[in-house]
Amino acid sequence: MPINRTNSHRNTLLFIGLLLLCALFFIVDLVFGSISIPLSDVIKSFTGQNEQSTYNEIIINFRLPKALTAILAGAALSVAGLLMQTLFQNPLAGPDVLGVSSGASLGVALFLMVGSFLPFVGIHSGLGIVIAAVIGAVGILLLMLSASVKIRNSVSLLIIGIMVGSMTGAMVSIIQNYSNPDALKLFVVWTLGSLSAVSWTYMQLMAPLVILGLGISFFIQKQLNALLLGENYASGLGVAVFRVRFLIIIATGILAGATTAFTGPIAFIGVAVPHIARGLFRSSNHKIILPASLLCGSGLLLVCDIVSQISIYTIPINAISSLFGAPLIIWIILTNGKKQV
Amino acid sequence: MILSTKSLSIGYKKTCIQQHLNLQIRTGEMICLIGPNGCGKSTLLRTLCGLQKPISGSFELKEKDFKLLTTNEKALLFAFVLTDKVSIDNMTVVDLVFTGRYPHTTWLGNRTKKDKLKVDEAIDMVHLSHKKNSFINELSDGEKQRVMIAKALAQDTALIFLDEPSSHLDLPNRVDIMLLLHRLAKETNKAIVLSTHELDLAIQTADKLWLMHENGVETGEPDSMKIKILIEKTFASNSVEIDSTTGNFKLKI
Repeated sequence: MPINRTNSHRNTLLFIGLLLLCALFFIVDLVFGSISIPLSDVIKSFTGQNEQSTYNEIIINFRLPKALTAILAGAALSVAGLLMQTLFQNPLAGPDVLGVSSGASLGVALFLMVGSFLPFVGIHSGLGIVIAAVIGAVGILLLMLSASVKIRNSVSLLIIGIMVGSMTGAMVSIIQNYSNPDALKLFVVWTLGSLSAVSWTYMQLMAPLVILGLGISFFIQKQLNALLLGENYASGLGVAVFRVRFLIIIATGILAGATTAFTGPIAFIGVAVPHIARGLFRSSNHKIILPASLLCGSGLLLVCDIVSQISIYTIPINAISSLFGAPLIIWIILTNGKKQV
Repeated sequence: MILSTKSLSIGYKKTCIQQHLNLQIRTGEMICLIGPNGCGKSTLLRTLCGLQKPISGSFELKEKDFKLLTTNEKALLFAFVLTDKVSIDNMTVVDLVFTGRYPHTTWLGNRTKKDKLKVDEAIDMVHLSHKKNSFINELSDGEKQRVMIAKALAQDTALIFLDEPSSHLDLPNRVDIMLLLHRLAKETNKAIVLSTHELDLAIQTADKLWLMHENGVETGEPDSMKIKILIEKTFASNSVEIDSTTGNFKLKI
């Protein structure tokens, strides 16, 4: 099997290349920013040689958690997108489709705007936003879970997910109309998304959640491969389809919910990255595509973060990721249009 | 005896399509399920595959009640090929046939030497060795169908169900598939049950026919008198005359 051997050879090289790229982007992300810090000072910060300097403060407490957040969020959103695409057998499915992002938005909107009328709620508390977003995301998820019990058809579930997303969006608009300007501004800032919102304190919550979600995904990669054939064939191969669907929804909820809660909505990464990974590795085997999506997602979000800091005024990460992702989606629709959509 | 049904009634929630079916499948037997459109061929196969619940009655696989089998036990007992369209980007023939090994591999899905051998054998049997590294979306409908059959073979079960396996194929491939299934039943002692509209091929290759009509299923060997008469009765119409020995038809013009 000469072709197979070169394929696995090629994959190994690709994985090494991706890892090196991610490492490179990680370093570049630490070095570049609104204040340029020499690489030697970055290294000194890590070895603890200039503990007193401002550089040290910027590197350790601002740029390092931000770069780590980019890696975690990129990996989480991409893997969540891959899970959804396999579950719904729809190339355009992503974490947004399940309504998780909208659910998180609704949670945050309710917290910021309704909370602003109540004097005892500290609306400037970042932790409050996080809790609200997670509750909102989990709420929508439970709704989708109960729908998936009744609806065995993945396409119907997808449509319900989009409808639920629209409904939560409408509710957010209504809440916005009745809220005061201060709260509205806070919410708009959150919707723009920011990787720098994750401090070391939040990192202690975000990192374990993301790792848990990724762990579940890797655990079910064999089932995911069987699910690619459709639910009938998967059940014929001995897949407990109901249980696997449940696990996929849980993992997606944790990955997308936690990420959205901590960084605000970051569009298109979840939908676009699995396609990049499949195209790069020319495979649909989750054993390859799962780690590939993880690496591609981390790398891409690091690049987005680097680009967002090129000018003096930091551009919102959501805008950058849309500029990357939206054309890719259009390309997918155009190429898929030839076959069927 | 690998499968037997006991007064099985099939259909959907409110409409019962066929009732009181008592059917048997023996090892090494190729059974063709024939009958007019809408009489319940697919429904029967879907029920026997566990994809839909019977309305009443039960059936046993290897003397075990179907309801008491776990999903994995079922996957080790029978495989099936459906009319569902499978279209996956960037999936190779080998990768797809490998999914058939699912019930045999560990949770990591690692491919052992035995798995690779079974997969290569299965691909070889459907004459697709030269395309094993092609992407399935680049194959023709007929080739795709053969890949799905290879997947069922790789699953290495004693019983295989196929729902209209020859429907997208040209004549040489249709004959080829039927002969392949016939040979498999004889050589590997597998039981093979397939539904088809190819009367001629069914009569000439099957060990046994299940002739499904509005009021039940008649079983028997293709050259038995009972089946012959029933074939003529079921399929003949004002415009067609059926030769029940070969399955050929003649237009009454």
